Amino acid sequence: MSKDVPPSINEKAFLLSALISRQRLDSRSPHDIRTTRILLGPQPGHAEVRLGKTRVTANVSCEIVRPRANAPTEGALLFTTDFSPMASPAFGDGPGGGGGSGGDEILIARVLERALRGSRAVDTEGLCIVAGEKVWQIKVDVRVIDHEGNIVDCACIAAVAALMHFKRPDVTVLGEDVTIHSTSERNPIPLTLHHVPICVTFAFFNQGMLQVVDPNLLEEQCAEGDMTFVVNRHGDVCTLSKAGGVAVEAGQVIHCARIAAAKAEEVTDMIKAALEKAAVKEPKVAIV
Amino acid sequence: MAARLEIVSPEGLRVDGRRPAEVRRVLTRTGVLSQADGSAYIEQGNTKCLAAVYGPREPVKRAGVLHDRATINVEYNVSSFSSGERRAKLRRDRKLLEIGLMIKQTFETVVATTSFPRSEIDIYLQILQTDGGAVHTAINAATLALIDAGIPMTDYVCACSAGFVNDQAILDLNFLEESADVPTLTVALLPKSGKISMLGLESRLHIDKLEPVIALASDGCMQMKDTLDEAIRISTRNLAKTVLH
Amino acid sequence: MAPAAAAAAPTPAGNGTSVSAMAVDGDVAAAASQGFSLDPDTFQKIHPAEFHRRFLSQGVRADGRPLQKFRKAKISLGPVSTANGSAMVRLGDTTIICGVKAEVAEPKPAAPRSGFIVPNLDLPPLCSPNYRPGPPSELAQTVSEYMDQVIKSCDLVNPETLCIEPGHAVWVLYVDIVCLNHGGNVVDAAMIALAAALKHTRLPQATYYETESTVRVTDTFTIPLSVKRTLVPVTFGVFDAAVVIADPTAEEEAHLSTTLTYVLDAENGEAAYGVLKSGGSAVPRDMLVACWDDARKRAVDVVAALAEAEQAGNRRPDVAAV
Repeated sequence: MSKDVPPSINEKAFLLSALISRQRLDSRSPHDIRTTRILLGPQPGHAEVRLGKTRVTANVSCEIVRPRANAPTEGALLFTTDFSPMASPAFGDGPGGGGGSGGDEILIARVLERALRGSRAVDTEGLCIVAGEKVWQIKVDVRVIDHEGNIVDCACIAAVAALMHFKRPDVTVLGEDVTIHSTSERNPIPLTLHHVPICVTFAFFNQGMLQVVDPNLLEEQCAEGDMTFVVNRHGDVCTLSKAGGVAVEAGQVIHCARIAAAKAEEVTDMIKAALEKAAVKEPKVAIV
Repeated sequence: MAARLEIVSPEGLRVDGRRPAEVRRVLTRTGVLSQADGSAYIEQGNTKCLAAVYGPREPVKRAGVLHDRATINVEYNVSSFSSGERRAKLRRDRKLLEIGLMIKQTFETVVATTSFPRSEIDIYLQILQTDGGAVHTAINAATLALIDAGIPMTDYVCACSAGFVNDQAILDLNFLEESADVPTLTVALLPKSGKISMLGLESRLHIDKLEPVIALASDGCMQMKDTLDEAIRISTRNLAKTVLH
Repeated sequence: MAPAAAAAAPTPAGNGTSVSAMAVDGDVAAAASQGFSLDPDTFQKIHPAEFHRRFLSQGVRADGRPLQKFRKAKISLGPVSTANGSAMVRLGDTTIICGVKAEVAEPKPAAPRSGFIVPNLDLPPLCSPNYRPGPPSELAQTVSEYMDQVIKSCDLVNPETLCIEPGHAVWVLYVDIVCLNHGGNVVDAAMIALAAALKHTRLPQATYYETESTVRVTDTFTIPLSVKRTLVPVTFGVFDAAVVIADPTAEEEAHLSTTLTYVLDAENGEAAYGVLKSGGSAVPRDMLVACWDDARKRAVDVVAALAEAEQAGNRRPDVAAV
């Protein structure tokens, strides 16, 4: 059960003094996100996102199940997160939960759940096949490969990109009979997303007076507190989470919200560009 | 799907007869449990929460011990009979774990943990009945229980919730309002500085509406501060009477 | 509540281990001639068994009660309006809250008209410094199991009264008992809370619709649960295998050599639905009989407390709030 070594006092002081003079150690400006690379495919629903050196993959799969009793016409959306020990010495192998990094895993998983399920991003009504009997269950597996700070933003981009890239098999319903068509028979159908939720995280320093967007690992470890926004390009805040840490002014929260909205637009464009690129590469399916 | 319910009537009254910026009636009691080092019970409307604080005491797990400060552990539990639908108790319900972690991180910055190195402070929160606002009631109860336990803190942590419906912000949502898909924001505030320590938003809210909701919630927190402060002063007065008589 | 102590200054050369006897409520016992004296709180911490022994030898207990005196049971009905039935019991410092939630389920094929009652006792870390977060403690599991057995064997509620539609739908009553403060004798408090909550339980009307295979439940009209009998638990502790004390507190419980619980029928003190004595020191027969006699008297008091609670509780609104 090894734990990550916390940064030394010198490193912390150096980081802080650099930030006070508005410089980040990787020469970004305070509101810059790291270089983002989004790789989609080859299978539909597979995405790997690199945010600087942080790497997260997301894989979307689907299955037909019985719907829940209290929502017979809605499909299901499931999330699993895997914080692989190879990503960081802080991730122990064994059940998570409790203090330290175990706690962070839960917070990150919950943000993803709230961002994608709670905000109704995915159209679950469109996943219904036979009301009360058969619906599609969409499963999103998020795996953290490399932890260099700000896993939550990276994981969210990966999950959203994977969901937008995924295509489920086409289905025909004739009375009680349900026929699932293979991808060679009929073109698979993409999921309908009502909106694209993007996660933007801020880290606070210097008694909460300074904030930076997309903290890297060192910044995350030295931060006094952090705040995560999930926004879409229409300016809707889907989730806002500040789990304790240093207290900040209300005005700062609004200021961060506006920065987050701008960043969300940037990232949404990046995802759309990646999707277009992936679409060009895909072989067209001929309908016989 | 909830039926089309009028959250705020044209006259400006809510389902339970309150005005939009009105907090529910609050009842507080401290020192209610004999076994715990500090305890408090809060009723906010029909939401009932019990908080118990043990500590600073010797930690059970050697692993989590910090050499220069106390570790704070928070367990947030919701009784299975507390809500309309029975809640089966899952050992590792992620939602409850998340709330526990958020509360832990909120109090870590306020409690003088450096006064008690190598020890732990346990905060146990039990929701006995929920009618909306369980999280913020729990935070307020935890504040009272910590003070009752005599653990030094730099400030109160006061919490309240606010939402936005029909073009106006409403304060302290009950269960009906929360489940009618009204975006609900829970805020925990440190009253001395007026700064926000914890924020949690569940459903979608447009950025332009964020400011009035945060402002209203902060206002509610300051109202809660007065209630909590009053409760502490009364219990301290009673304590002084028994000691000094 | 601590009795006044004869606190003497420590003698410099004193290495004797004798401790001055504790004064009991104004009574000044002879102080030891040598050795040092301790104040009662310290003595209780370092030599708790002896601390209690001192009191018992004088025929009282540390909290001032005579050996056979039970703490008064304070019962209030309906503290949780979201439950179908609820009760809160205070036995001295021990505080227990019980909530009954009714759910619809499919009956077992072998018993198509029988519903279920599922009791569960929870001792959360809230209630005592001895409990930490994690799986349920032995005590919680044992008492839950015992309550389940007693309910089934004594037919507390006729399972067929819980039937909605034979073979399709029955009520399951989840009786969740949570200890909020463990001041000793959780068994008694828990079972009294269970009895009170079940008596307070009202079931909504349920109709089974064959065509849709669903059950519709309406809250507008509720029917009280028919409980056939009132079970009264009475617990004794035995100290040093010789002295019997009634209704032990948490401090006393830690040093008992065994405990003895009778579960009596309120109407008929001659019949016991359960006698629980799990191991520990042996108890002579006349002690068992003497305890039973005391238990019967206690049962009358508990029944009176339940009746009092019902009187006060009757002013509450009928229908469970949403």
